[in-house]
Amino acid sequence: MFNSIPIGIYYPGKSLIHRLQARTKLLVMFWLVIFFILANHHFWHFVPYIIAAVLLFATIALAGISPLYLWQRMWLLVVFALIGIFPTILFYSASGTAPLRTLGPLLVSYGLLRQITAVYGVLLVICLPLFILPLPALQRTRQRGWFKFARFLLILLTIVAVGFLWITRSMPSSGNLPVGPIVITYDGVWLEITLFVVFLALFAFSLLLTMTTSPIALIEGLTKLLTPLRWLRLPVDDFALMTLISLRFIPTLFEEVELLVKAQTARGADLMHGSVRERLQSLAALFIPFIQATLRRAADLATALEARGYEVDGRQTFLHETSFRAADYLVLATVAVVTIGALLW
Amino acid sequence: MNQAPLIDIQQISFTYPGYKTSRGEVQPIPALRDVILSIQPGEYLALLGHNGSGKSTLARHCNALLTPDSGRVLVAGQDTSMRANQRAIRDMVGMIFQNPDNQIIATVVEDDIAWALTVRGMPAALIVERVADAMEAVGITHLRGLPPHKLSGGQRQRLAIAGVLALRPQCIIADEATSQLDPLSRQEIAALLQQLNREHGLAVIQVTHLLEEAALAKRIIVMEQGQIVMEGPPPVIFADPERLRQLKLAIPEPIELAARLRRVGFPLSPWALTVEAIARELVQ
Amino acid sequence: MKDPIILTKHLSHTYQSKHAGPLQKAALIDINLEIARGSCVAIIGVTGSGKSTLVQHFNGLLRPTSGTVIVNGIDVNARKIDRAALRQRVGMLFQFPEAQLFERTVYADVAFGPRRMKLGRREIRTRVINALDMVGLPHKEFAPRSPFELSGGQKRRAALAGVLAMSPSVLVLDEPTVGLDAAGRSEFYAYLQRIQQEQGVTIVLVSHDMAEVAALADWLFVLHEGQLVMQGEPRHVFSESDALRQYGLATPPLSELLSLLRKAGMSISEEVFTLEEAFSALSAIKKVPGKGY
Repeated sequence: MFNSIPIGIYYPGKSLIHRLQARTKLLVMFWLVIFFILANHHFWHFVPYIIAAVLLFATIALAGISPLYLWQRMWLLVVFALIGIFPTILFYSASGTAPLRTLGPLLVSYGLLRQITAVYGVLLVICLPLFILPLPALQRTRQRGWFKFARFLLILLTIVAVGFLWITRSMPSSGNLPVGPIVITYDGVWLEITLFVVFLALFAFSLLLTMTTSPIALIEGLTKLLTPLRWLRLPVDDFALMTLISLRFIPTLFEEVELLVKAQTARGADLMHGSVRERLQSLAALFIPFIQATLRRAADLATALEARGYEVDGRQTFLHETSFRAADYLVLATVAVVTIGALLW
Repeated sequence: MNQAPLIDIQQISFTYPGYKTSRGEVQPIPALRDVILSIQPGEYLALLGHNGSGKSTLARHCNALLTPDSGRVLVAGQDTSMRANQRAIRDMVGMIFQNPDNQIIATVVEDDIAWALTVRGMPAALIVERVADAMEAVGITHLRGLPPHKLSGGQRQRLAIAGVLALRPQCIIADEATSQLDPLSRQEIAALLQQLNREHGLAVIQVTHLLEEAALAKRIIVMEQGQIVMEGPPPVIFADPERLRQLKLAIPEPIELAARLRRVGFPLSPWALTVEAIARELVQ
Repeated sequence: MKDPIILTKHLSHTYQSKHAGPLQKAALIDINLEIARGSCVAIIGVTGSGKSTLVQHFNGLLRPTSGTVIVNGIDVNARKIDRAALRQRVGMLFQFPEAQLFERTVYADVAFGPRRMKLGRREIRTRVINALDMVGLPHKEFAPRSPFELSGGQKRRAALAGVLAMSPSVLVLDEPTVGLDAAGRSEFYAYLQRIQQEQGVTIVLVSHDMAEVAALADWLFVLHEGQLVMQGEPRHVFSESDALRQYGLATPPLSELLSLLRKAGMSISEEVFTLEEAFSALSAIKKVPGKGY
């Protein structure tokens, strides 16, 4: 069941990007984040974003990964991001910015609103028998999931209606309730588009990072980069080991959880049906054994690590991260020059 | 044989710290009582006993995972209770555990074997060489790039053995390492340990409750309630099935059959303890 | 067979996966079997032969890709099937079942299943007490204790009680004694046989352990690469040790021995299977020297 979770998994390859050191790629990612923050301050300056896009496409080409493959992993995110744009464009307002378009305030009279509420009330009363009469046909309908949801919505609406009537009871019927106005500014549009681009670009870059770098190389690279922190007495080596072990156990944990779910389901545990109390018990039936198993596993692993002579003294040999080569320096230099140039243009 | 023993256990006793039961009692568990044992280099030894007899506890004193409350354990002359010695001791005495999964820590087979070596800061070239040798010795070279969850239980234990071998130890302890495996994998691992003992002179300590596994050893130590109750080569131990039953150990049927046939006059050698050996003897 | 409790006809199952496409490997191919009511059967085969897939059809965890599975008269594939009822009727114990214990007391954990069945409190209490006594954990002593205090073998039996309390007519056990020592194992077998005899429960074992299977099962099914390749009484199946080796399976040590002796020319009847029978047969041969090997 869990086997088909496609995240940015490592795909071995021989491309230029694959052969770079993990540190190079991590440093470039880190720099790109700073780059975008700096670029964002300069409104209506498109050059940095164009450069970023060019870099992205260049990386895709150099990594030997088909754009289609990348798109398959990103399209859902693009859709969400697009949906997310609209509310923010509509409601972003900073003083002193030129408005692009104003959707003028909609004026709705209180009288009209009260009439609508009255009609709603009448309809509710008419439908009341549906909720109450103990006819078998109706009782079956009442059990359905959608009915319970609809009932919940209606209760909410009723509360809002009653609240509205109470709060506005002293307003005259001819008075107006202003809805809006909604102001779309130039700057708002700019901000949204750039954030959209940045979001997707960073996501794409990080996908590329994980696709071209094996997990252990990433961990070793990160450990090397964090070496200075060791002098601050931070547990950098332990961090590397923790990350490695976590990665190692993800597939194993999936298998275990699957088995546990089957075992408890066979006993009747059900998260979807039953009273709240029963569902909480079913949750405990999954959660507690899982925690137990994890604690046992941690104890076993600790013993095994001790038996293999694990001691933290910073002497670790790195098998996957070796040293910077010409290609690494070249890439770092190119990215630096191009991005700084774009910012200063 | 006047060699200095590899592992010298000098009258040790050990008690696990207590745990609270649901009634709030704290139960200390005396696990070892006055155990004296010495293990020679290159020896193949079985620690036999039912669950709770103290065999795992004793085994864990051999690589300094546990240190005795009284008495001392010397590994190649070094006292296990001194912290400074512990890494050197664990280089000499390696251990593989019961749960094949909970001893593998890297994402890829090669990296797991190399791990203990990278932690010691060995040069990369040396590590690569040792990893290749270890994989060869246990026969998993063809699995080198796989993640551990794609391996069978038997293959995972072989991976664990390779990880130990990479440190070039003098002794390997298998702590109930086959109890979660299916019968064929169990035979595989037993055969591998025998091979390592014969061809590389590696001392093997097999902690088990299965008589058929103990039968492969040169010497069997039987434990009960933290004490050594029987000691000797397999024929001596298996000559008393009643005693073994009292110690909650199950006698494999072929061995039981051989014992009964011997009693009614069949000329069977007491060293015939595997199915093949018994068959050979009967046919003659 | 008249009125088998489980019946499969041309059962096939292929796991659906987005990635594999039309070239997916079938987990089960055309399985036809019948399991007699109240018997104890074992399904043996190497890892990947389809054993777990097969038994998961019996309690509705999986549905056949094609073919039918009928459990106690109910077609598992039918549209309106009450899956919960089927789960109660066919109890399943997975590997290392002690991992599923989670409640604060043994009583509460064993009562988890019956509570889901919406039984009255008195009925639940009766069932829990009976189940605990049935597995050798006398309720007076064990019911109030925390499940995490018990020994490995005891925990396993507590998990068994949890499934028994649901009063299943079929009990499916996946590798029930893996990891237990000899004492734990023989205890488990004893209680299993008692359950089968006293409560008339049909037992389906999935196991690697040939000695276990030889001791407990009345009938064996051998799976290999998703197909049912052999079936029969243990004594007959295990006498075919060459065929079994082909399927990656060992035979119980005693059968192995007898097979070697027969191959070397000793005239031991094919019917000889248990320790007693082997002893008698061999003593008989020895007593008449020159009888010829």
